Amino acid sequence: MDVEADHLLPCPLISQDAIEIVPAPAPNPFSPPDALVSLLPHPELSSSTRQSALLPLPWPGSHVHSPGVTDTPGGGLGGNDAPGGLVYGFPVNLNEDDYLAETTGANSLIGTGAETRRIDSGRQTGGAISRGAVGGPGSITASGGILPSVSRRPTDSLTRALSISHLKMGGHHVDTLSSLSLAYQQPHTPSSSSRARHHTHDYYPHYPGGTFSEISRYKMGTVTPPPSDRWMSEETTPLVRAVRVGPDGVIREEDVDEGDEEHEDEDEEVEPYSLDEGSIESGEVVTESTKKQFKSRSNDDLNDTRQSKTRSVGWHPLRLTEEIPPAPASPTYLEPPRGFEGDTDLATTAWTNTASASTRVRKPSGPALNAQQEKERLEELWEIAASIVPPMPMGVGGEASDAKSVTTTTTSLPPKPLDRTIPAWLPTLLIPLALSLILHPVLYAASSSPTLRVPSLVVRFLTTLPPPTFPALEANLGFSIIALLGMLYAVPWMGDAFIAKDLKGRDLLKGPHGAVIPECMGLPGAAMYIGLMIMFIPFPFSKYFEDSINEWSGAGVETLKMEQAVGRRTFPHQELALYLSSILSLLIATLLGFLDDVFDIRWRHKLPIPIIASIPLLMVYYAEGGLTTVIMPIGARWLVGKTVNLGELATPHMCCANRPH
Amino acid sequence: MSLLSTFSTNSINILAGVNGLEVGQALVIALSVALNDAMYLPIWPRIAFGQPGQLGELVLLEGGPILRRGSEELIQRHLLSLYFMGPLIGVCLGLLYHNW
Repeated sequence: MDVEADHLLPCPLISQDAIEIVPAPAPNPFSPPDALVSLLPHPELSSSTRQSALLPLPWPGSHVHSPGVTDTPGGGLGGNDAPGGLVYGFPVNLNEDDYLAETTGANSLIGTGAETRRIDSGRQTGGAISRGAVGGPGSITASGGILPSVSRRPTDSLTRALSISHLKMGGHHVDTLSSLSLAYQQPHTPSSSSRARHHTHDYYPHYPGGTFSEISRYKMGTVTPPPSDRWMSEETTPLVRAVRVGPDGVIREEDVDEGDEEHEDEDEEVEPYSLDEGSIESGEVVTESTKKQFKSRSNDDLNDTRQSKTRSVGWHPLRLTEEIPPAPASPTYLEPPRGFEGDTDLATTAWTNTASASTRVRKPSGPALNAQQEKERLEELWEIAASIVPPMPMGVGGEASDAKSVTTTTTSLPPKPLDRTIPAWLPTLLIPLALSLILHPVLYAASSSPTLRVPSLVVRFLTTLPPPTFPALEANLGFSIIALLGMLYAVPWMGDAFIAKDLKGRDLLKGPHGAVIPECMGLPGAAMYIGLMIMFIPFPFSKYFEDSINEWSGAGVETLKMEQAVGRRTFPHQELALYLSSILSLLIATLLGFLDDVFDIRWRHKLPIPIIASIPLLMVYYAEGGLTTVIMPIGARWLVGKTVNLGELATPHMCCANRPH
Repeated sequence: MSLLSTFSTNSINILAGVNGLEVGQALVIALSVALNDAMYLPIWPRIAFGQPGQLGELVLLEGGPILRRGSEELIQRHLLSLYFMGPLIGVCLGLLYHNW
């Protein structure tokens, strides 16, 4: 590996720690809970004393890249004693020693079960507490750690899982990380309270394929964003963990119990970021249990098997918490959680690895690898780890990479996505405008009709307005405004559903970790357009209804014949046929566009489809004697004259059709 | 005309994948078509476009089309075209807002 990757991986300091990767949930302006959270002030940004210790909070597309940044002295975490100090680094904690120790089973790489440390970002710690409290002592979801007793599955090493996942996902490194993070999370089980479950994805009871977005939603102890968050900011780079390790590689709990932590905990109970959806919904219960958890914290409680304890080391954007998973309280823990039965994907492998590694010394399941193979695997792992963290511009020194400049590394953040919140004045202005534009010609036609009863107040109001010159065009303008508003709101609403079906892509123009946005959003647009066009059909022909009604009312009932019934005589069927055939062509084009988005149709298949789609339109155009004369531009009139009648050339497939005249 | 629909749709689609590019092209085309249609409608005040003999009048006379070689049928044709272009512009604007 090159030098650059070496300082990206501060491996020896975080070697034996369990790593959990928590994705950065992004505030979505369209989701009310997050909108609420985003309005609240950050509790720490107001105090200038700890500004130096703050790393930037994640927003969509952000990623924290500060390898080897030790905490400043006097900061909120108070640790500047290397190697016991805080180290922010990318959570890939594989070095050669760890790998060899893990393969021999002497030292579990991803946690020993006695101490599984969970370090997540500060804004999600409240979620961790509330989730644990909701689940109760008897449920799987209460631990947030690993299930120690599940050891029945054939084990594989995590490193192999990492490698395989890298290969399987085609180098999608975030997915690679997800297999790591899955080892520490519990699936969402129905034992949680229904109110808390309301905000998680109930319609995805399993891990459907193990992509990062789906897996990370099930992480216990983290905030599960509402579904509409997914299209905005999924699959950003996971947060960097902060790990506090003693000189002997053991976490020092007596350090974190001292002093100002009590104040920090009290702050945390009122800090706004602990108000995730669960605590908002079931607020009182969560608050009480949260307090109970904090008060029952002591070293004796480490042996408590009923409750998982969360230790926090002060407030920090990168918060260090340690979760001690409870021992199994009942044989039901032996059952693998729902969603894991029978599938052999990487998630299961990583999960069972954790479980087995926590209970016994694991033996290598496969044949022993020789030194060369192990070296190859190790190099592959290093490549994965180096490519997970992309090389970013480092600090002020350009390409400086010595130790001093690393400590002053600034984070290079991708551009913030645009604020696409729809201003409130827009619908309040446009909806009445659109409705009045539509209703004006309707009411005018109805008031002039002898058969329809319109309230006199409306008629009196209509007389103050000028009569519509083009009533259908006026209604069409109203429909256009409705289409605009509907599209403005339909994209955020439906984007989540499209992402859930894997119709998504990364916004490459927003940097390498741009937000994942839904694709194929032209489909709701086309659906809305066609729906509005169908609803618009009566408007251009309303005057013919009116005429027919007048005829009907003027004629005696006995003199009526079928030819004189409503709309029969004067109704312009050709125009309606042209309109309907246009909609038919539009439907075919919509189908082509949707299939192209889904299946990536080849060009040779794409080409004939619009030709077929244009046949009904051209047929109607031809049948009603549509013009095929083209006016030549002024510079080209010497060539063929002022106008050219394309004739049969315009509609070549009509050559074999019978001419109507 | 069949080839026109084929080439126009595929030429829009050929650069698919860039955010908002397709819908931007569709919006530009729809706006141009709508502008062309609107010029055939007798809604424009004559003073705005300098009808002969009425340049100095400040009173807005009855509206007329810009391109005056139209007939009633031509107006109906362009009205039909406008009916289709209006919601298309609305949808494209809404989609472009999120793709900008």
